[in-house]
Amino acid sequence: MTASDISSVLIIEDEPLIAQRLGRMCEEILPSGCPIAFAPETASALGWLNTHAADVIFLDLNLKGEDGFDLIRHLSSYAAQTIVVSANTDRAIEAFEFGVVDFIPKPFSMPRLSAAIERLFQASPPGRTALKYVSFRIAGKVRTYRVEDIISISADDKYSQITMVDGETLFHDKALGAFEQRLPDRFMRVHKSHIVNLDRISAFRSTPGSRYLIELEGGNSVPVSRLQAPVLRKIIV
Amino acid sequence: MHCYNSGSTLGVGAGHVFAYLKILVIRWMIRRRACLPARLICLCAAFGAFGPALAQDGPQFRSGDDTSWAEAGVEPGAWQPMDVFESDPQGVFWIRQQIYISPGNGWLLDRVIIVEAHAAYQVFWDGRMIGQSGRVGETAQEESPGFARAVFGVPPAFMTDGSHTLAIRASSMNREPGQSYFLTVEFADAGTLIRSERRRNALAGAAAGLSLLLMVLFAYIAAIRPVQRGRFLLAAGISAAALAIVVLELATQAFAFSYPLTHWLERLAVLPAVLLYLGMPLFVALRFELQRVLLWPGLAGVGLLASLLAGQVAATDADMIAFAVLCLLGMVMGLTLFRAARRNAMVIFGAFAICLVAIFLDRQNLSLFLVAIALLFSAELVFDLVYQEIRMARLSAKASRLQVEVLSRHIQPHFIMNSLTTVMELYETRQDEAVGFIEDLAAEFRQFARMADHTLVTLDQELELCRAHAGLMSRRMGKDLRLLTDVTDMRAMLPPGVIHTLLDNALTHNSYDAPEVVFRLAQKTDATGTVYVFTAPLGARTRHTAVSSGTGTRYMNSRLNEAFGHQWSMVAGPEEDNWVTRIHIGIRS
Repeated sequence: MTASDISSVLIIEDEPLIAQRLGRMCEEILPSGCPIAFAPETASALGWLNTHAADVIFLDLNLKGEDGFDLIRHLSSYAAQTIVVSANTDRAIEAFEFGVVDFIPKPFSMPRLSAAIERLFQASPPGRTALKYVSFRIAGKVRTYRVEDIISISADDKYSQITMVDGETLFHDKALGAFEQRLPDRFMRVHKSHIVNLDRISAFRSTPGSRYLIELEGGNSVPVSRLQAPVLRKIIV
Repeated sequence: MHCYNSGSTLGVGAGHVFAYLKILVIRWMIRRRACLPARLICLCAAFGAFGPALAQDGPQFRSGDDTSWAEAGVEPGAWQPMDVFESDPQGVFWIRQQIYISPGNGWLLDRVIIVEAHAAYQVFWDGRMIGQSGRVGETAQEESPGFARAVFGVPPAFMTDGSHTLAIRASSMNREPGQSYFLTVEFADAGTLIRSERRRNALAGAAAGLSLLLMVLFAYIAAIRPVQRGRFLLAAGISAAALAIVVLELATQAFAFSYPLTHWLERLAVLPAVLLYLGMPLFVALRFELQRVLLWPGLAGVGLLASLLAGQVAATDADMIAFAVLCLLGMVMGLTLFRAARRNAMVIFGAFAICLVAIFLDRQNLSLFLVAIALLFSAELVFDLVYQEIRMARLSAKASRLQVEVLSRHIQPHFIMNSLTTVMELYETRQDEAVGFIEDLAAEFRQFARMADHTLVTLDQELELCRAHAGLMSRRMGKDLRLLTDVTDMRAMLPPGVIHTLLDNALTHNSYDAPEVVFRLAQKTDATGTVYVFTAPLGARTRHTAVSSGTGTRYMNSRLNEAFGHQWSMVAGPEEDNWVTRIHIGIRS
């Protein structure tokens, strides 16, 4: 996936000139015709997201005195990737823990915004704070879980199905690839459709026909690709 | 008119209760129509105690003159009990009392008889004269006034076991107009008397020294400190009154005065006594800023007059009633302060409660108790002053921090980075507007720099800052933000950034959809002070639940505290479609 694949952008910014700047630059970076929506505060942003899909969200953390982290928590339950654009950089690490792709400090320039959009399609750079929490929208409410409590993540069409340590299985709007880029090192994509928490593996075994399988806490099994089997075996042994 | 006498009764009845006190054995007291304020400082009452000697029966009175009346058992039927004693005797009269010395106790201690009287008198023990003060006479010319107070030793040889007769031959023909007829007789051991008087004088000396020190201190503070000058002057006056009373008290102990002269000494004490009596409630009311300040001294004055009246009508000890009334009033003030959760309220209540108890413990020294509570209040004021100074020092240190805060509020990342981002956007898209924006930004910073190191600025300066901020934010938000004012005194003083903070809070917490937003500031002045009413329209989807406790509000609280102490208040809340903040600043004392 590249910038040309981005089909929709939401800019959440309460200052018109700054929103205008973000929109103007996005128009230059993204393919022409890519729709760009604007929301000056949380309520209108969430209202828009209920009826539209966005690939990227640009978020100002300081919206009319509201705590932007409530919104980040909420936004992390959507398929869209979030880029924070804020003057207040001292909470960047906290933002990354919720899966924010990049944190652009104000004032910003075109190259900096362009670099942030590039990062949407790259794995987190070494040393970058990994995803620590993941949120789900369940029955109209947002619930947040610790990533370390995830046993496995499986692809379900363009969404993900996540199995938690308590046996609960939850669906998330994000694709498997989006998770893979932000998860901590103890998570591994063992198959094109499965990511597992290495700390939750009970057994690794081969089955007839040179197939490989890992058994996870809770009794579920996940197939392992031939390519990843030797790597996984080395890690486990 | 009849005199009253409670001395001998107490002398016997309370003897066992006060068994540990070996000062007094009997005491007579005859007096009437004493000048009450003066008696506030020379309160004397009957007081009895255990000793090897006990008063037998009650003291008896007889008009006329015959030296044989000093003997025991002479014409017993001709004597009258003291409680039917005609109070304004003319010529010579006698008083006598039977004293019983229990076996084996007579030799134990040197005995003395202490006489306090507005009279000339001779003292007899079993018919033998043991001393005199002045010369007793039938007329004013014949009489040579005695000392108001005299002490006579009883020869040890006289202190035999069994019953004895103590008799006083007296006349009181040189009293000044209005001077009371006054006679007390105490029987005590010399050592105890000396120690008691030394203690009393030491206490009085210490009280005098402290009064003098506080008087000078408060006068000095009042001279150099314009804030609360009236309160400190009153404290200096009360200290001066306390000093005057104690000095007069000491003078009567240190020097021998003939009884007509004591009348003028008592008169001298009237003014400080009244000042102390009325001044203490006034002082407490002022010190703790009670409502209706004059109510309390007014009540004290009414209490004083009622006590005088009660003393006349019921022939009771009016000064003691007045003292009790003052104590009760003080306790009520203490409770009132306690209900208002005022600091040191219980000190006030406790001080007056102790004085009320003192009526039952030591009636002779009530004046010193009065002085003591006056000094206690003064000391409390000194401690409060020290507390205020420490608080001011802290506030001063805080003020420095606040100055930094004024600036940092405007170089905080959100404000400055958003402004710079706006500049960049304008520069890249509308350069002419970028220049104007930078000029607005510079104007606001310049205004802040001017105000930052001031505790107070004029409303005019504050509004200039607000308009600069509204102009800047108008550009940033793409709206027409306006501040309309209805003020009468542009020179009124305010801490810097207070109205600006209200404006900034409104912009931060509201999401305005309309292209034009109007804020209003009204200034109203009345007898209680000045009210600033800031009105901000509520934006769409605005969430306001109460007065904000954010950094902006904390900043305003700190600044207003620094400038006005506790003489300000701020309330805020929604009114129709607006969020209205009212800041009341009281008139500074």
